[in-house]
Amino acid sequence: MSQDKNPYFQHHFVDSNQQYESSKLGMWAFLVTEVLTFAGFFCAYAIYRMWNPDMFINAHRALDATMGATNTVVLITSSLTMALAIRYVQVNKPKVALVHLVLTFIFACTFLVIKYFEYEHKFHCGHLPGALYSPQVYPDCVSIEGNNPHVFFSIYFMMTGLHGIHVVAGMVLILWLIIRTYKGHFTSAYYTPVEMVGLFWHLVDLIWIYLFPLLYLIG
Amino acid sequence: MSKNEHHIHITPLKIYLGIYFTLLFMTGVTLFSVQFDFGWFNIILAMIIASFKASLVLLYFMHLLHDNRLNLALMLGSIIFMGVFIVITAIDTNYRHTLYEIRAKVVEEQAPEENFRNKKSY
Repeated sequence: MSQDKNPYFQHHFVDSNQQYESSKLGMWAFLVTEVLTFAGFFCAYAIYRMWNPDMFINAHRALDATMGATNTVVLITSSLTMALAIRYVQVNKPKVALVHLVLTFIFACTFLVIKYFEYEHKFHCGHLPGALYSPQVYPDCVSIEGNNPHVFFSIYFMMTGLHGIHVVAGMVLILWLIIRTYKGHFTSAYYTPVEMVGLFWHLVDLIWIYLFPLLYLIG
Repeated sequence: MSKNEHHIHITPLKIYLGIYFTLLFMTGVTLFSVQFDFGWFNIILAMIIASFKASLVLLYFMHLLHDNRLNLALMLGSIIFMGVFIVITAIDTNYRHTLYEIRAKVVEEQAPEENFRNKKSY
């Protein structure tokens, strides 16, 4: 078995492939814990929506579905560029992969900028979680009818907030990949970190795929 | 060719782009479908579309289709346990009040004392 192609091969593995598969299994185990973390929020969402079905419909009108849809497109596009970055490093074109990683990073920034404008508007209108909820009567603010709309915003800020933290974490990891790819660390013989960060980034996209219809598009 | 390269399935560019445009199209379908009022079916439809999109991301972008099946089993396991978590919590929170109603009834009725006298089990 030739290990000479992979400079990051560790002696306690049988071969490069086993090392790669082990890393991937570990990453998937981590992703499982991530799904279960978000499961707590999805559960809270389901229960509170069952208790306050009308308030959820009224409160969700305060969210900007256009911005939410734009962010969905941005995040799906960033997922594509991440998947392509992995593909280009697999076919041994690290320079093209570098371009796609930078694109992914830019899309992640775009997502956070749009999120900032959304949050900024919520703060302006006083649509804040829990005890901070203090609705203002500005002309650009939606007035929400129904009991306990602060519960909706608690759930909105916790879910999108934790998701946003994941986006920031993903950006830090992508930046690390950009630096390492630029230094020429990754080839078709070794690209484990690119694949693992890719998996993490797709999970962030996956969670948004559910968050978008659940928060912005309540029927 | 080393063993490493031999095992890795490289997805063609065409498939990645096809999945990407399908995901965008399904986002459009979601936006279109919320204009109609199907009642309780709206949330079901939204979740079916979201799950279809999620499956595409998992199978193609996250390579589970051509990957070690153990990784797929782990992911499905997390989804199953998420379902168990939500369903059991919903059963608890939606039917908990029936439990308290039964206890409240006994207190309200104030059963006459002879009822208790005849029952040895008390």
